[in-house]
Amino acid sequence: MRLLVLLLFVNICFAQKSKVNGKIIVDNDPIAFASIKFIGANESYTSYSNKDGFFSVDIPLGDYQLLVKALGFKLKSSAIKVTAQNKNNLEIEMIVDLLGLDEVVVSATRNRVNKKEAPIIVNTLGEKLINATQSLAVSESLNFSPGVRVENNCQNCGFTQVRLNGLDGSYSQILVNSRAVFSALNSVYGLEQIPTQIIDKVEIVRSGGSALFGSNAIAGTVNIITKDPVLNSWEVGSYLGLVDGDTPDRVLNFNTSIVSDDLKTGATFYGIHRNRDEWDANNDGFTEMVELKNTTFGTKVYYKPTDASRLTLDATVLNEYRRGGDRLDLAPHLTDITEELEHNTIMGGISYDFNNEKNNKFYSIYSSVQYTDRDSYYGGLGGGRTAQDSLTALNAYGVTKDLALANGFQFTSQFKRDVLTSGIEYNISSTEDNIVGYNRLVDQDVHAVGVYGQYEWKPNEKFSALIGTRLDHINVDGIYQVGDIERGVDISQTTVNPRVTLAYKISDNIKLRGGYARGFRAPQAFNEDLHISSVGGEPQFVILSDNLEAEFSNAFTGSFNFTKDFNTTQTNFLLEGFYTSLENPFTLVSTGAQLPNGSIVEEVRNGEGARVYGTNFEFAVSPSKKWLFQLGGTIQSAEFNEDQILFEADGSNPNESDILISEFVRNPNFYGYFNSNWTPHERFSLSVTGTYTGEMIVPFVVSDSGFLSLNESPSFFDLNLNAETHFDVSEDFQLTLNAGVKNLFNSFQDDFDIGPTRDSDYVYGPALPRTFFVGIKIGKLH
Amino acid sequence: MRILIVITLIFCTTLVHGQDEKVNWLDFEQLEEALKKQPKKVMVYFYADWCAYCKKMDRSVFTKQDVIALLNDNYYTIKFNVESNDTIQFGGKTFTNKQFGKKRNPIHQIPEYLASRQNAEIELPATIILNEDFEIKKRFYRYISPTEMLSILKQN
Repeated sequence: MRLLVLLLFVNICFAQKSKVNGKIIVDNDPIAFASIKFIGANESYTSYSNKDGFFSVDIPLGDYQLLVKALGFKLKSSAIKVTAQNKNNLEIEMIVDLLGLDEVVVSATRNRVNKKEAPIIVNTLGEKLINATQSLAVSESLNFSPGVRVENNCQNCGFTQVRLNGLDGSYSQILVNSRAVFSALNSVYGLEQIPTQIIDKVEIVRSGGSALFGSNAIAGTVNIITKDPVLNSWEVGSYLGLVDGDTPDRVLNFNTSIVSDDLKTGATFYGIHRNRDEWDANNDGFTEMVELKNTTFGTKVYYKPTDASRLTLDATVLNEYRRGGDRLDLAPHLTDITEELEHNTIMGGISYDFNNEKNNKFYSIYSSVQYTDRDSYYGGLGGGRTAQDSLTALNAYGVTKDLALANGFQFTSQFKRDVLTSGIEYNISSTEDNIVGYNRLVDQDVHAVGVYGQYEWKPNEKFSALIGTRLDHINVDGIYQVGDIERGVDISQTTVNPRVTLAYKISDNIKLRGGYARGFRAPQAFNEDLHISSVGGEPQFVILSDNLEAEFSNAFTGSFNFTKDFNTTQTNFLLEGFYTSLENPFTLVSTGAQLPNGSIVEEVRNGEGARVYGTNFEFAVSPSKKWLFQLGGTIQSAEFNEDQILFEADGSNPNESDILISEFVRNPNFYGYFNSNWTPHERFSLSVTGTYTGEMIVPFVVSDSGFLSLNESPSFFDLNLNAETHFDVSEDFQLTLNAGVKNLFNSFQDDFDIGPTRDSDYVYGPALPRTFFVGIKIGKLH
Repeated sequence: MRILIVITLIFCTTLVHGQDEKVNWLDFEQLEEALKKQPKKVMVYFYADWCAYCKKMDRSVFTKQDVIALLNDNYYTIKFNVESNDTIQFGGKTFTNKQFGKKRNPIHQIPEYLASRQNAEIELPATIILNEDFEIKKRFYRYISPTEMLSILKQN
């Protein structure tokens, strides 16, 4: 490395800027388009050489650190004194780089394998996976992420819930566009109501890693993010599925986006209609899969008053009708069992985001709302034909009103490396669920104020820490009635929940993370508590017990993440351990047939302490753009510290005693998924996806008194195929056709309970039997 | 009657012609020739197939008649796919895509030359404005709206 400084002129030194001219050379040949940077004590100056190697720059004379970058040459860094003597003829000699270039990287926006730079592990389910699995509702696609399992809980109404790390639905927080508007009521059917067509992606965070989420996110958060418009596009699609080869499931959807040329305004509109017939697995006249009619439409609009601010408005209206049971053509009260629900839900929000000129301080004010008006029918004759049966059946119609509001302000400040996020949030959730005939009432108001602060600290390249804490003040005021039982909750509680995540980058490819989070849940009715199932021909109710105390959790996670690109092959390996201990977990205990009509009542009680621990793993490899393989799963245990009572015998039957259990029911110790995709050509792709559900214990009601048998379910392997072909008819018109089969091996539960007195909660395993489908999509798709 | 048809035809042709005006994209070899004959300012626009905002630029900016007029009159314009595997001869040198087959998003040497930044990745769409001496004047790593593009093209 030589630096030739040729002295040509003698001049008087000026303090102000002077024109400096020079040339970049190698072996006397000029180097074009090199970038030359003079780094001074106070300021730095950049210039580029022209095609003949010459450059010029206006700088004060003095001492500089010189940085010269040119392609194919080693980065040159040396000290230089610019004087009046040399300023008109600086000659800088470069050295050819034989070992390869100093790399320049393009934003990794198109990685098929997720890069995980964030201190918290976020699993993202995008359009590709939704497409590969041909998921119609959010609930179907969630299984394809480690630690996540969606289960169907009722054959009469199709109540689904998502389990994260084995903890049931009420331990997770479901967010829509990052806002907590998914109420307790929404979590009963909502996952099946939100069509995938409106989704851009779903982000899953296991365990309570971030203080930004509510303290009730003990098992994690599922964030459903709706589509944001960029290009002017439109799309019309249709899907026809044949469940078990003969039961039709039809979908028609559209969406369109318009964005102004200056990107200052944009809007996207979508609408979906789905109509699925009911399906009976065992020809007993009672459904295993409910009839479903869903119409959803909505919009997301934004306007940017200035370059540094954005106003976003989104609104979705959904109307869903579902009915299960027997003789769906009759009025519900004339049947043996009917669970019929009609939801009218509106979900929407407005947010105003702005930032300062330097682009390092961000502010967000938001307000989101969800309102559901629901008509329900949970009941029927239950196999009986007496006048009393008819009267009870006639009075099983109910009305529900549910409101959720989330308002908040968030402030984010970016420092050189660190990020400070703080905010305040005020959430209201109000539910009134009333069925006069059973004297059933859930009237609950929850007000929660949360204040949080979180600091992302990156003292160096390798280490980062996310340290946060959240103060929640929650107020629950609830009345819960069924028959002659009346319970109430009136509680005000303030808790402080710290959260810490540490991440350390051992090398460019290996990252270690560890975290702790405290969480808590105030006693209130959650998803399952609002659902009514049917056992022994009578409805089965859930009610909160008296003197219910708040539940606390301590969650620890540790993970190892390896990410490396071998030429065009991208790989990612994640191994994560988790340990969550629960104090006073809310646990359902069956108290048997308590009500005069013989209805079984389950009580929510503070159960024995519990610990949930295990391992999540994920392995992904993509050898080229043509191939993607992903495999993930969970091996875990969910145990009570002391045996937990599940059924409390009343002593009337000598053959029935209390049932105690040491581990969680409905929770397999091993479950997982895989996802593979082959795109040999732009016009064709083939996906093979599947899930595995291990054995688990499923309680089954075997007598009118509610006595349980603890059955072990078999394991299931649910395999899906989808082939897709794409035609670019013109620049503005494209066509996509697809066909395939879900659950190819028809791995499905085969011991459903039968008849009017069946236990409708006795369902487990894959949600669908073998289903053939075809689909078409037309429009300006890209 | 015949005259009317002819007039209509001429009118239609002009109309079609007027709408058909497109940016006169050159490649680097053509640019070198052109620069030798008559130096002009140059605009280089880098894109990639997967870049949505690049598509937006193609559809909303480089289709505007005033932008096209300004570009075709005062600039030599180059549109270059950063992931291309072409071998380019320019300024007596050979540029290739050395990352091709080695990386998932292989970047050609040309954009590395003209658009690489220190401590920051190349972000697409990238627009580089050069003067008559092929010296870089301005670089933009974002979507440029038609109005902004007009003012950039007029300023430089």
